[in-house]
Amino acid sequence: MPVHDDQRVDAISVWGPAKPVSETELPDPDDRGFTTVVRIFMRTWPFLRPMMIGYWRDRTVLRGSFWQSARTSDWSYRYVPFVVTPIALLGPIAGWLPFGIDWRFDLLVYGTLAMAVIAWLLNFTTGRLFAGAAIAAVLVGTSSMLFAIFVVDGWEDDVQVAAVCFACLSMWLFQYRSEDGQLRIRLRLGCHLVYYYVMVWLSTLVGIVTGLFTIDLLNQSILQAEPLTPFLAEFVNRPELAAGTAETLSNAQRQDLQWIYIVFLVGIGVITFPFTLALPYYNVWIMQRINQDLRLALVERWHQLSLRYHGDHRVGDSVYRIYQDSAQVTAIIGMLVSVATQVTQYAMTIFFVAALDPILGLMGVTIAVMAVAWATWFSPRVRTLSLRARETNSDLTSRVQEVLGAINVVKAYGREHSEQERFESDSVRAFNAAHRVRSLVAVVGIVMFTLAASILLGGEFLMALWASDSRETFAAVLIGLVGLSFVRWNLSAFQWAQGELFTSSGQVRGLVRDWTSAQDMAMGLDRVFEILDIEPDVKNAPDATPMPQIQREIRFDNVSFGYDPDRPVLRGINFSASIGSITALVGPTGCGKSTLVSMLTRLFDPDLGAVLIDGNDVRRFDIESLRSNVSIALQENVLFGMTVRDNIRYVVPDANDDDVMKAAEVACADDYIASLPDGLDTMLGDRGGRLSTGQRQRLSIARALAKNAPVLILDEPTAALDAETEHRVLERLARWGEDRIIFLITHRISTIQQADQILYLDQGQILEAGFHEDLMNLEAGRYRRFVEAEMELSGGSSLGEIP
Amino acid sequence: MSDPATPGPTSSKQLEEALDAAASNLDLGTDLNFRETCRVIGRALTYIRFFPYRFAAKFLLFGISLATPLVLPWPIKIVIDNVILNDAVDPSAFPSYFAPFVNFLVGKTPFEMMLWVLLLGVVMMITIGGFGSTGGANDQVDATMAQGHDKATQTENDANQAFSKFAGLLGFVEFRLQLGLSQAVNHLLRSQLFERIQSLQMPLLSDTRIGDSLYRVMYDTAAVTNVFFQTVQSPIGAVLTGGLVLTVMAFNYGEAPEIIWLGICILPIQLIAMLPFPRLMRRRSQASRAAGSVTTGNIEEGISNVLAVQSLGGNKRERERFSHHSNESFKRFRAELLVRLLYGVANGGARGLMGFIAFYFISSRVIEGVLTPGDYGVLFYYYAWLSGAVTALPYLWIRIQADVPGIRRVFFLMDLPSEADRSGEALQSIDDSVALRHVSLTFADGRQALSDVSLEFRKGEITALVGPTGSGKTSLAYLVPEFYRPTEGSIEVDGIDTRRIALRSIRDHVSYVFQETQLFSDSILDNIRYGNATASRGEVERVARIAGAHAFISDLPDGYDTLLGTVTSKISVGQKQRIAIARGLLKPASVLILDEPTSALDPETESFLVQALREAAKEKLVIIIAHRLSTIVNADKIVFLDAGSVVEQGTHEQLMGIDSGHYREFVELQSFSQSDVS
Repeated sequence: MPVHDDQRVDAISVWGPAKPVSETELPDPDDRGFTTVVRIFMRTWPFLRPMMIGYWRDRTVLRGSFWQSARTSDWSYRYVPFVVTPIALLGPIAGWLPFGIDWRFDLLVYGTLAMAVIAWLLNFTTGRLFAGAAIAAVLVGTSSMLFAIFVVDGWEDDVQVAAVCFACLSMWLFQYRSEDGQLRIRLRLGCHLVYYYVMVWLSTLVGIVTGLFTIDLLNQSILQAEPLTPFLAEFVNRPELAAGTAETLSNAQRQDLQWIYIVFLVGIGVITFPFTLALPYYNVWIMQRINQDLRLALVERWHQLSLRYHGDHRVGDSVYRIYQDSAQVTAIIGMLVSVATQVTQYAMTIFFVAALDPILGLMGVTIAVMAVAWATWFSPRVRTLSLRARETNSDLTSRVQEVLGAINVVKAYGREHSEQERFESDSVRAFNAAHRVRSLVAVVGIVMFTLAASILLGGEFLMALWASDSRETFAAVLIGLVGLSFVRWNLSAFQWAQGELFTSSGQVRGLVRDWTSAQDMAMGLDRVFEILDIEPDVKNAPDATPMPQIQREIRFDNVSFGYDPDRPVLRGINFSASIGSITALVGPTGCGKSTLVSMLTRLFDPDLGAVLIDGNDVRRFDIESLRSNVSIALQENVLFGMTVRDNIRYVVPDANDDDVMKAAEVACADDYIASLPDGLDTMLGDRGGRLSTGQRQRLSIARALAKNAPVLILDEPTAALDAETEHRVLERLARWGEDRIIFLITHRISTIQQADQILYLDQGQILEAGFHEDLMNLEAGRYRRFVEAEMELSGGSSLGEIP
Repeated sequence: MSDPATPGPTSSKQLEEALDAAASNLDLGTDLNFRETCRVIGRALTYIRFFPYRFAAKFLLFGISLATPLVLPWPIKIVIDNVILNDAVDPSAFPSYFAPFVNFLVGKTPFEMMLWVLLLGVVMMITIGGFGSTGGANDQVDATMAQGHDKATQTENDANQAFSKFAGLLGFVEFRLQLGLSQAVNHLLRSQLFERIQSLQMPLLSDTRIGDSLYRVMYDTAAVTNVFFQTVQSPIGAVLTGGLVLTVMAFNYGEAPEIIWLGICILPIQLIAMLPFPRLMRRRSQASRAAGSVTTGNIEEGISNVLAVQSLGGNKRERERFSHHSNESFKRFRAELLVRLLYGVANGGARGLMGFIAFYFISSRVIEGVLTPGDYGVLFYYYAWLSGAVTALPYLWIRIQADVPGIRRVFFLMDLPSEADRSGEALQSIDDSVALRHVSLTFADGRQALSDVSLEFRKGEITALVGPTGSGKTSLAYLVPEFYRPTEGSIEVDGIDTRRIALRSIRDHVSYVFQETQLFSDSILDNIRYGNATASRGEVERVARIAGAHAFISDLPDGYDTLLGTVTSKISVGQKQRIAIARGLLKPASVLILDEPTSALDPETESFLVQALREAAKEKLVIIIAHRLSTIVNADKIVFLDAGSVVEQGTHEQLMGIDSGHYREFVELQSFSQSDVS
């Protein structure tokens, strides 16, 4: 063991992967470009949409003849302008938004009235005008809201504007409809992302506001004994401490304020702690829901894909895509929000800095330009390395799954050591690939910082010298707006400008980080969409109908099929089977028997000809309804790691124990199930371990029977059973299957000869068909030869009774 | 595992236990107490011994990076005081380590000073990725990638954990060092675990679930990284930072020792606030992992058996099952998150409490006039810094609790008894016989597979094991290559008790063809060569012909080089079986065991195979389990088993001669059903 560990320790070298040995190890940079990444992100919209737009929940509220006459053609929001206008007018009238006093209030009044007008417009326009009006409403509403909160003092205006905004918004949230004498309303629920971000925004707001209060309280009043602002004094109920009344605060008053400060913070803490608990949880819940939708889409698609796909792909790859690749979708929202915030902040910062001196503005913009140039270089490389890392890790997952799935064979052939070597080499390869991509990401950040820092250092150099010489600034225009007083370069100007430049560079660096992350996310999502884009070979026709009950027969009409177009497995298959009949398929292995019966469940569709049920092509039927009418017991007894009961009722999960035991009885599995320690509740291991093959086979038959389908297919159902058990099973099956169509694939003569129709296949063609007696009478018949060979093997020789 | 269809247990403890059992039948005692937790952590830390130098180097760099705040702010003081405000340079206002640079600047013009500061800034930027700026601007290196909100999706960042408080060259060096180290630890642990799982005994293996083992190898092992780094890093960081704060404070505010006590006193309060959380975290983390294992198993099983799922019409069912398990997994993750959030609140409450005390204390001093308002800012900052450093320790403990269950799960499988534990003599060949002496076999759940079986298999003979289904034939056959070990009795090879022989050696001499075929996603050629990697193509074709596989393989477009997938429809089940038989024949072993080799063969191929086995048996010991009379009849000895005991043994003629013999009845039943052919 220690020998192994020494090698493992050195497998990943100190510095990371050495240079690739050959060019093929490190693929060429991905050529796809910026738009592809964006397009990949846009494809996630259907999965994000339910969380943003939610769903409608409707109910009937009132009934009566009145509603018969007041009919609306569809869900309408006519009520909105009637609500918005009064609210908007209430502002100036009631004094919350006094008109004519201050230009700021005037602006708000104009804003709210504009929204009222737009609300009217939205009710009477359609198409482009409607879209334009909606966008206008959003813009006006948002800017009014922000203006009210940040620029205008007091809270009455905030409430007023919020009420108007909400009234407009209700158009989207709440609608009514009247028809057939009923008034129905519907509510939009479940826009979780919207709720979440509103709550985040509110709590940030609360944080900012309380922050402003407490800082003022602490720094001015407690520490420096200055009187409170009138608003604050009223708020804490100490009017005597207000600026007009008191000159300075006494020690006793300051100590009083200390307690108020503590109580205030405790109060805020108590109010906000549910949010600190609930908001992150809510966020994760939303993200998980989105992720779950994507995962389900993947799983559903996989189970629809043909065996051709699965034969070329590894199981571990599926696990990887479901876990790591689909998880990327959860990071998109956060990234988009982060990008949007940073871009807006950056724009504002640069604006202010440029106002101080255009050269500084130029510097700020240069950082952005350099970032774009750098991004053009590294983006394709990050994508390539990210894809490679995903592929290698996926391969490793597949390796583990495959070895553990076939561990019996590994043990039997003593190949543990070589499988271990393969595993370790896959593991190293996966880690090397991860190392490369992460190192590149780290380098991206470091280089970006260096570029930004060079500019910043240059800026610092210039600004310090300007401040040293007290040079003039360009800032005269901004003084009024932002309250700056930097007419000349001085220490405060220097510190402020440096801070802003640094912040703006931080935003650019943040954007670069987000962009790098986006490359990796795009690769993961690409792998998800790769699967979702595959069209299943067999899928429902657009007008698929559920399958009606079988009345007469199943017919194969000149069916041909091949996995590869030039190697047909079935050629010109023609036969029919009617209700109450047993059709036996016989022939050498690999002649296409299993493939033939697979066509009944539409595992494959014929290349030529058609499978007809009561004269209808099965391709016209809905696949699920078709498959629910066909039961199959496969040749390879596949059972799942569930209880015995759940295995039997795999496709009929509502079956009760009686039905389950009935099916088990026909399959002669009831006696051994009774002898199991937990009976029907016995948990089977992976692939149905813990049972002998014969027991598994009978369970597999029971599963097919539990479905109670009119068509039953048995593929070598008794291969693992001894003669006596086989006899019993077939007896019971014959009785059970009296009104059904049964297909049987088997070598056992005793079974075959009971069939109503025997089809002898070879090389994909039906060579002989008919009753047992008729076929035996054929001179040099293939079937006859087959039977004779079988009889010889089964003991005819020792008893000397070959006819 | 209760699917949506079956009703499940209701109490939360029962739910947890059911979840653990659904994930793995073996790993049921998943609750850890404090001592066990420490033991798990300790064991994880012993992995440091594999990488002592790398580990030390990383922490050296880390320690140095903590000192960057000492250097960063001073250049800006020069810029502000001496350049902008044009004061004279005063070296005594600077700490001793910075004085040389300041001395150098004495007497220079502002322009020159700025130039030198710029140069210093460039040097610092390149080496440590930071430079003097308002507040000290420095970048940190971090390459965390986007991850999901489920345990399994967060492990890639854990397994590749690397960051540095520096940027620039030093930061890059530290980053790569740590990245290589994280990966090396993970690779080591994963490899060890995988090796152990492979070497588990077969009965144990059949109790493990593939999805669960996959989860442990790929996702649980990543938990070691956090323990590896954080348990060392946090205390170092806490101590160094704490020391730094204390020094700086002593330097400037020697007369405020109460602040120091306040900063330290937060520790016991936090410990109290923390009390219920470690165990809660552990339980939630374990549940998260167990649910993840179940989900992984569900995915793996569904996709591996996609043919069955589609044939059975189980698409909808699989989708429901997956949806259910995946939701459970997500739910458990959220529960873990909730515990973490609750801890955050409790912790925040404790910190808030101490913060209020600190505030009261310092602001009272300001009111009294002992301290200035500016001092308040500084002292509170120091307090926050110190208490932050102290807080790191309980916080670390809570964080680790999420990783401990993962590591425990890894160690659990590694500690199970494995086959590799048994060594012994090497066997040159099996020349004579394999004998079972009074062998009984009872499984772990009490089922008795064999009772008091005594048999001898001789070289040069074909022995047929016959009997009704479930009579123990396969179990008996598994004893020969020691897939199962007898509960009582012994097995002898050439007279030597197998317990003295190395397991590997026995397996080398036994070639087993399983009843249910498993092939690998390799070429047909490599599949057949699985037991004999150096065989030539000619030899492969030879055995393929014997097994009746050569014809159809040659018909395939790529012939022997055709790649098989894990799930494949390119060849039929019968054809797969023939390839498996060829594989078994190719391995150069003295003992050949075939478990129902002919069940999927047509009569012609079967008789051909039986002939070939007759030939092979001249040099080997052949055991066949079969139902077909033709095969059995050709055996030199027939052993009839029923309910785990040998009921009759002898040649075909001998056994047929027994009146109302089991074997005779068995044969007659078969041929009776056959002889109905008219």
